[in-house]
Amino acid sequence: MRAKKTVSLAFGFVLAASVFVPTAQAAPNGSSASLARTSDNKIQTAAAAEAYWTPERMAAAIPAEGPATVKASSAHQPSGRAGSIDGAAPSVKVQNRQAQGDVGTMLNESQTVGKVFFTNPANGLNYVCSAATVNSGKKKLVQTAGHCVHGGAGGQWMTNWVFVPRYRNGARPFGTWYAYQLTARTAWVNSSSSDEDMGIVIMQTSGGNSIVNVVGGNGLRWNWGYSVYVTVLGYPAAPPFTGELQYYCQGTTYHPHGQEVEIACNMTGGSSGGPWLQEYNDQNGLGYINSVVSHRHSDANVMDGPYFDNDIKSLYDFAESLSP
Amino acid sequence: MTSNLPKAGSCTRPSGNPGDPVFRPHGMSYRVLVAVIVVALLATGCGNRSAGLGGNDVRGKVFKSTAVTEQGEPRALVEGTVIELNFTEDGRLIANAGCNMMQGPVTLDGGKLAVADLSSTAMGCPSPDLHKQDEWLTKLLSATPSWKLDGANLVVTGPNTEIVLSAEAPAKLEGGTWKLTSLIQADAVSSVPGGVPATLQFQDGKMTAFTGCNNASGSYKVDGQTIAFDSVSVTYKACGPDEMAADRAMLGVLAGQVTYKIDRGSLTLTNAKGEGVQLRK
Repeated sequence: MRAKKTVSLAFGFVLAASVFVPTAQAAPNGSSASLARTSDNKIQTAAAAEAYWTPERMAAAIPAEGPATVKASSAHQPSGRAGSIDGAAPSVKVQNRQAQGDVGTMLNESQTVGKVFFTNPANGLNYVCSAATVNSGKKKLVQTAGHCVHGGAGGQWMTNWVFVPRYRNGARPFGTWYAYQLTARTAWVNSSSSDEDMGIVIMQTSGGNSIVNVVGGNGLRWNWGYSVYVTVLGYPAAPPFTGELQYYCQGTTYHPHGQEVEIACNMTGGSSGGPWLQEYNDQNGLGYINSVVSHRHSDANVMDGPYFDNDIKSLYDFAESLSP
Repeated sequence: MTSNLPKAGSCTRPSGNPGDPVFRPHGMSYRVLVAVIVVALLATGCGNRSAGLGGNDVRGKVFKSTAVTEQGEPRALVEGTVIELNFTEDGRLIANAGCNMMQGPVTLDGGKLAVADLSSTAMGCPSPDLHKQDEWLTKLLSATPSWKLDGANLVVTGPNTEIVLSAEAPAKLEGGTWKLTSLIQADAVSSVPGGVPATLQFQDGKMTAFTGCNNASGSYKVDGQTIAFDSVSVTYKACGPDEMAADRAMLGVLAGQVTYKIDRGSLTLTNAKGEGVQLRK
């Protein structure tokens, strides 16, 4: 049985410029103090954010319950030697396509995290996910969920796969990056194994630059145990979220079942593939990817991701070996 | 938890030799264990064939909806979508209503479709209607609906809702042209770089292939899940790196004995080293 858990906080990143925020609705009654932080870590009280966070939305995001209860870990033991690959800051200065300050620099909104758009050739429909760059020697890799690149057992590779770093309300400050090649675990492609719902995409260069050199690349960690403190970033698009800006959850993961980790987070559809970052640095937007958003069960306030063990390192090495 | 219970579809006794460690959940008496086995035999249809409630005819098959009714009226699905129910050989239900993948362990005993813990991926759907359709299917499947086979159709009936689905025929190895979609290296798989258009055909014992760079042909014999190739000849052309990657993968499974598996429209060929390719028609 799954223990009942209460949700931790999931707030929207709030813009200084209200032009990007949905038009005003009912005036909120909730405390703006619990809304979001600005780039200098102060409480944001922008009217636009208040307009978005109606009492109904706030109620949906933050249930009025006691502190989170964390399920005790089971007999399942993580194994293998802990591994870590360091991240990298951008090395290339790129002209911001949305200059003139109409995209505020939000230091706690990561430029290594972006929205993913793709087509499932099985039915021709378009879907969205989330993803994040991961550092490597060739600087071209983006980490996401397996189901964001392949339909699983009997399914197909997604097509028209693009990654838009720090997407916000249609703004694409670092442009649109196209996939060169998609990779996933055989256990995902052949069996839709949730334990291995991980994918890495090799991106094409843009203007001669590799993506990690432009937006930076997160580190990667595996075999770090089921209980770690992480920042989850993503683009939830199903109500009450809009998918138009980056959202985050923070908390300590725990072990629910199988080779998976779970966290209290109420992000909705569109967050799939979003990184679970250890040691997320609010100033440079980098952390160490330790899982990705995979799926939810009946409790909409928690989400599961694959436990990063040797499987992710193996996939990472595979993708890097294929990278041009 | 592993068990020695018979696999659905077989009517053999529980396997294992005397003296082997026996599957016995902690605290379970042998009397209860025997009861569990009897129930399992009944559930697989072995004890009572006429009951037909165990899902023997459903496991390993994919069903797609042909009609959905609610309160006796037709319910229109979002355009371009159907309901898919995939009963995997390993006892899961993988369901899809046009957006997210739902899955969980499923039992089919007593004419009831019971999914213990249905999970759902968290993709963003093309329209709010598809999110709603996902929720609608989740709710239906979580309500332990009834199921029955009506001729070739599967009929799933929940509160006020009925879905009629027909079995999807898996692709056939022979005939038609398989197109390369994936390159497999043991535990990892990639799409085909540059979309190199490699192809493969099986017809009347003769294999022909275009590897993305070279042409190959030979004879083959199918035995169970194995294909044995013989007298394979290949042209010797060099191409660009993407083409050569496809070429290496294709030639890696067009010699000697390889295993093959067809899952829906997908063909997987794997050699003894665990390398392989996937193709679709």
